[in-house]
Amino acid sequence: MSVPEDLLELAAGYALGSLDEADRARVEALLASGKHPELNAAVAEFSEASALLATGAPSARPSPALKSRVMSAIVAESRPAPAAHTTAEVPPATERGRIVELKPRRTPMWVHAAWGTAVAASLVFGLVTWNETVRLGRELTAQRGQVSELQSKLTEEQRWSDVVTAPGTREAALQVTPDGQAEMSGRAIYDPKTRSAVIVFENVRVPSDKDLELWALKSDGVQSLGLLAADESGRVTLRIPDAGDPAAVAGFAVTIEKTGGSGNPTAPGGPIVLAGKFAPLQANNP
Amino acid sequence: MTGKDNDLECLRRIQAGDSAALGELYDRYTPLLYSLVLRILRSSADAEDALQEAWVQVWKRAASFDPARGSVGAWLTTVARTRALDRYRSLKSRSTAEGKVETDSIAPAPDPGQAASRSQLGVRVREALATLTPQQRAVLEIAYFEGLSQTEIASRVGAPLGTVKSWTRQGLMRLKELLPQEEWV
Repeated sequence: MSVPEDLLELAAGYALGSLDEADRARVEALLASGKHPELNAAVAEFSEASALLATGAPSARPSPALKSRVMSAIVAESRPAPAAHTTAEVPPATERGRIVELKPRRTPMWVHAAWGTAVAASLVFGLVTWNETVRLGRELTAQRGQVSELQSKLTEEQRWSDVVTAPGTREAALQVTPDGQAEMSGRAIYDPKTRSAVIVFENVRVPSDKDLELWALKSDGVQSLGLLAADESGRVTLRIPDAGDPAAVAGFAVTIEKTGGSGNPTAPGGPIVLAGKFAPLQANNP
Repeated sequence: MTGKDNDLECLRRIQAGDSAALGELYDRYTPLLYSLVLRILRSSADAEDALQEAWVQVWKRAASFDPARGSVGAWLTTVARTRALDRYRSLKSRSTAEGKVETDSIAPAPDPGQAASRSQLGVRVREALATLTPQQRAVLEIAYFEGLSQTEIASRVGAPLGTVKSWTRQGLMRLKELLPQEEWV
């Protein structure tokens, strides 16, 4: 099946990563639809051809130490996360006591007195045991609640982990502008399928009379995504459930605003201090 | 087993968590990939950082590779190029001097055997590029090594956007015709 020339042009630009935003979104939608296998084939062929351009670079080799750094980084990535601790630990089973059978006898008075004392003691003991049982029951209920909460948190963490590791995610490195503090940086990962984003900032310092506001950069403007709040180390991790339409979102930016933010969800009031756009997608979107 | 089969086997082992397989791909492809990222970034320190990030991404995203969309070699160059262009753009936005070029030391000469096989492929690619018009070659190289969009390229070369799109299509079609099935290494 021959490919229309306009689709071939789109396929070539897409494979080279040089399409403008709107064209790239259009190609991705066409590829995702599965209705144009000839387009998929053209993109694959053009991708192979464009990748060969790499051989035009002058030959060079890195330092030998690079390989060991790469392998160390791989090992660090592969290390499993520490197991989450749970307070819902099952207490060890108590050991059963040994039962001794008593033979029936004539009971002298002192035995009756002793029994009376024993009954009284057992009543007290029973009361104490009952109270302890109630206490343990309440504790178990509380622990079950904690387990349930931990499970919910784990599910939530897994969801955000899926955002970061999903195939087809878009990444943007946010770099500081002349209006920002030189050591600030940010990195955004956006999942077009869920529209969720995880953005991590480092070395963020906010003046006491200001706020930093995050914006989604779109093809038709900007959209506020809220204010940043850094911890003591200057690190901010934002989890954004809906960062916007994948056909429109192109990146993210941070502005410095008066306390409380710009007050306008579609128009910053202050200068941009950090900004970054998504890198162009390639055919085998890594 | 062909080079492509070897690459696919390595990728399959990487997906299964075999780091030695990544080491094999590293040895096979790093000279090409490093040359590429160094061409883009012009700094050995930045190039090594970008390439390290690229290999970590290969490790993490091996499962996302789709053989129907291209070869492992093409995928690896794409990962490395994307990382390099990311870094290039962030460095460019921070740099106060346009066109700043670092002159740090260049690595020792490459392994002759591998350099020879790469150079054969490089020779074929250069011969194919020589058959393009200067305009077709320029738009491909600007797009590939500088990561400019077609609109930016049109502005750079002073041509209409539609013309740049045509040159891009014609250039890649010519390369595709002349180099249909290449072994990468």
